[in-house]
Amino acid sequence: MNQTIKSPQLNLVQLVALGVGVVGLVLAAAGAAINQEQFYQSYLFGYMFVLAFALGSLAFMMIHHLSGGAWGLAIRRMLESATLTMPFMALLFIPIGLTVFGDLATQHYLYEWADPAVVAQDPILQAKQVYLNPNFFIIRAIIYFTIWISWSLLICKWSSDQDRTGDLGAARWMRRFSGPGLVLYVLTMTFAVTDWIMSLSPTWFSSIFGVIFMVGQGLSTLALMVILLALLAHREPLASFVQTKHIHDIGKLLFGFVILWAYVSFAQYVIQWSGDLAEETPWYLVRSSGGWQVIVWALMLFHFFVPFFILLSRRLKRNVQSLMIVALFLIVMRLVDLFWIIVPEFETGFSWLYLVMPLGMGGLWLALFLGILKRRPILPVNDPNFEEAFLHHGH
Amino acid sequence: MTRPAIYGLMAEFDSAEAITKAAHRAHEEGYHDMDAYTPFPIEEVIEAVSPRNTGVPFFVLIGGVLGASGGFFMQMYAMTIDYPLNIGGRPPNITGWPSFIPITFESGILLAAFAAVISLIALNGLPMPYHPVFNVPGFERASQDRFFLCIEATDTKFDRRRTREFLQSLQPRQITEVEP
Amino acid sequence: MQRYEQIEPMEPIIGPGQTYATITERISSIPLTDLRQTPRGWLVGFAISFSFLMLFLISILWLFARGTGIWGLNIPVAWGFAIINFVWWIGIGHAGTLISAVLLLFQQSWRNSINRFAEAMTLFAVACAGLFPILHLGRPWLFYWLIPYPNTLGMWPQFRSPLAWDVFAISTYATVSLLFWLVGLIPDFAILRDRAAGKLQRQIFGLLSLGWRSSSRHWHRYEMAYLILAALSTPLVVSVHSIVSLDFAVSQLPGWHVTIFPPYFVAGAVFSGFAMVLTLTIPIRKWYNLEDFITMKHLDNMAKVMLVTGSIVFYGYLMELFYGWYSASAFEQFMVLNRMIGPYAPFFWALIVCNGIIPQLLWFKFFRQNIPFLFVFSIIVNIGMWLERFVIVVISLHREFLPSSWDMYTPTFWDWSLYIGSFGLFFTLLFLFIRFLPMINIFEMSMLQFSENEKAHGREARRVQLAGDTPEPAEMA
Repeated sequence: MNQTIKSPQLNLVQLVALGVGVVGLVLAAAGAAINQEQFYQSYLFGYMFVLAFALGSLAFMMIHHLSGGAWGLAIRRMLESATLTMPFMALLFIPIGLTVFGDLATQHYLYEWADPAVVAQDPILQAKQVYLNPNFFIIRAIIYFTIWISWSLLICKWSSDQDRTGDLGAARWMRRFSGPGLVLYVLTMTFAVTDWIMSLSPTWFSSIFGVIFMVGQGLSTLALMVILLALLAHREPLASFVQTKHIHDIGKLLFGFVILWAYVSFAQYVIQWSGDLAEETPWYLVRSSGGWQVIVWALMLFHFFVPFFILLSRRLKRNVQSLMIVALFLIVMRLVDLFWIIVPEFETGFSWLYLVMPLGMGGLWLALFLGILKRRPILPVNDPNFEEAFLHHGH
Repeated sequence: MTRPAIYGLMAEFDSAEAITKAAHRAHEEGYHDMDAYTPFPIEEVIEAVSPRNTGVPFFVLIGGVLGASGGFFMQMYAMTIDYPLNIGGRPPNITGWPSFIPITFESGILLAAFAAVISLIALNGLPMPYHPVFNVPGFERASQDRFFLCIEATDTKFDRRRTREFLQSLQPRQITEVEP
Repeated sequence: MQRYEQIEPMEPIIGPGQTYATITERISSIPLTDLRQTPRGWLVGFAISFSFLMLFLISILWLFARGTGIWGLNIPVAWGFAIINFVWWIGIGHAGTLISAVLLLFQQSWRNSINRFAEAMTLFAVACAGLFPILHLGRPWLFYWLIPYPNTLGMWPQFRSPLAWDVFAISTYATVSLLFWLVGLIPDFAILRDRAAGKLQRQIFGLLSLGWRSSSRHWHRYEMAYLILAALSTPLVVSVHSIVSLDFAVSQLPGWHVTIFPPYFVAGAVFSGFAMVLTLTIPIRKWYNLEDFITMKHLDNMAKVMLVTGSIVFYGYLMELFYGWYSASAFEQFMVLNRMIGPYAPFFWALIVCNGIIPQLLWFKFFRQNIPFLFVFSIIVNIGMWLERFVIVVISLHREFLPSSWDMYTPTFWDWSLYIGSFGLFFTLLFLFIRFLPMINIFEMSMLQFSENEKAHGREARRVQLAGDTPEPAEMA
């Protein structure tokens, strides 16, 4: 029963991803040599895009342990494998962490508040220095990654134990840790996004910003899961377990998150637009002029309206192959959305690195993720809910 | 073909399992004009006796689109054409669209919901205080704990004798001729 | 399956020994009871509620005669009890639709026994909520000016104002909730028609049931329409409290202008709605012996929903404070301080205790399944949610930008009488509901019983199959 997945398609995807990753790595190194500033800025952008899959998976994994549900069992191993890439993500964070120190800080490629010269002239940045200072920034990052890594390792370890021994205690421990884990996830995500993205424009603030990122992570993760199911659901052992209704459930979740994304994004916009306060509106002014308004329209149209109307169809949500097309499209839109949130903050203009970074980093991540996925049994057959979810065909 | 003088033949069953089996058998037998009467919806029975689309989602979509666009253009008309007014710096032209979104959403939902309820009632032919099936003795338990299957006389395969024999083979509690 | 039970014992959703007939009989007997045999307890409860309703009407009458000056309002605190109560009641009115719609979409079948009751509660809470902004208008009799219609004044409502959005949101919400509720009642009216003893009863319920005859073709459309209504209500319920939150958030006032408001108001609404459902169902299930239908499983699940939403609310409070400080804006930072150590600080800290700290006890099963605790807890949360609106409305307003216009807010007798009186309206309607309509959805309970039976059969079949087949993986290891 404890089978790993074997799929030539998957091997091919992994190989291509690795190739793209390595080429990306070389190109990124070249980019860093040509223009350091652009390197760091596109690096942050690519990093946030890739991190979303790992962190979103962590969140869904814990939600699944608390809520149950057959759809979660079908994708649980994929979620777990994605969270197991967390140490790799911590490693990738190092260049971002470096930008708040020394020469890199005074160049302020990313964070103005890290440059003592800028802070000295800005009373607002001085007031925020208790929070926005290089040392605390790094300490916080260490805390975030410690929490994320330990939670992903612990839960995945219990999950493997469960596979091996069928021990009941494992399920209990996973549940017990998921509740506090979710609380910690929400808190760390909020502050991580405040640190890494919101503080790019250090005078701006919005308390829903963390939620916007969490919803985005959920959307990225669900889209990835749909793609994986489309590639793998017809292969054993998944084929005998994954039913249309599980696909339908995940399709409904995807639909829900598309709406949720529009909801939180619009909530922030309408409040700051109506308030028209000097601290807040510049953030949107930058993002709706100088060509960026095209992206605003693109986001409204393609990140919400088009997927919304497509996903209304019940038939489509039950067909994993057509759902995959929507999912691929949504992942592209996630990239556009992050681009629109992060990049207008920089004054350096567009560069080919903005394409190389997410692709290269994403390629490496995907290769690693699929490697982990292939090594572990694809279904948690010893989960106490497993039989109820899959073997019970009546209703 | 002369129209038989009855509405149909009604068989009464004890359990949800029995009616499910009966509905499937009748479906396989090739009956189309039939209906089951059950205290609560049973998916498999519905599939057997009412295979067509309900028509409800179509009306809901129309209602939603009409409501949302109607709500949006009402506000656009009122605030930018009929009585343009600059309020709190929110421009009296198309760029003020964000403040029209909430009402657009609400009016879309409102009309969609009305469309759902009205199409449900109208397509089901309700309100209908009189219906032949109410003449069947014991039919008041169709809403409580008995399950009925009625093969209607309008069906092309309907034949008083043969249909009764078929129903008899399903082992119902009793079979009744439904007066029109 | 035994393995599953070892981890989490399966609490039944329906008590043992119930059949379609007993379910129908038990629930429908309450509305079908002869008028002369109305339980005395009901009469007493109704009389008390009705007297509070009279207090409500007297307060409204006095308000009409004298104007809003009878309240404790002043400038700067121009929004007082009326708005607090409005937001409080509308929040309570969110659980019904959440239980009916969202849980239906998530296929949570335990909702079936509490959805009718929660929907009714929603309608009555929305009725109470809707009155407060109208009473606050100053000239309430001109409330119809809020509705867009061609008029001789040549005027339109101010569609850019969130207060006009409110009109649409609340009225849409009330209408759709009513439709949802009525659609759910149609098959049950048919049951009451078929069970009615007297001719008059039969005719009344016959008319109300529209001639429903439980036909599968009807059920087919019915299920589709019901599912669609649920799908429409879900974003609607989110939008309503979001729009209510925008009443505050689109302004520029520190403590109101907060971007997290929409989602956290929605969570707070669900939180308070479930609190009210608990407050009401715990005694009612006892009085009417409905423990077989509203089981421990329901209470436990509701407690879990409250833990989630309560934690989101707490997150909202913390984020308000953190970003208020992080903004480095003098006004925002003052708002934070004024909440924590200002003249109304006790209200703020009471709020943190009621809605932030105490709900965290629900992490433990001991508290989730302790009925007396849950009852007390639900009342604490009701109070906490009222305090939340008080904190938001009054603390932000009473010390706004200009220190020269600072003032304190003290509610008057008429503030309190209107608030307490609104309970009269709520409970009067509620008592009428539990007496004359089936408070649990009968046909859905039968359906639940059916699917539980099926599940039990499935499990049994599986066990038999396993016995002759391979051993379970656990035993293999």
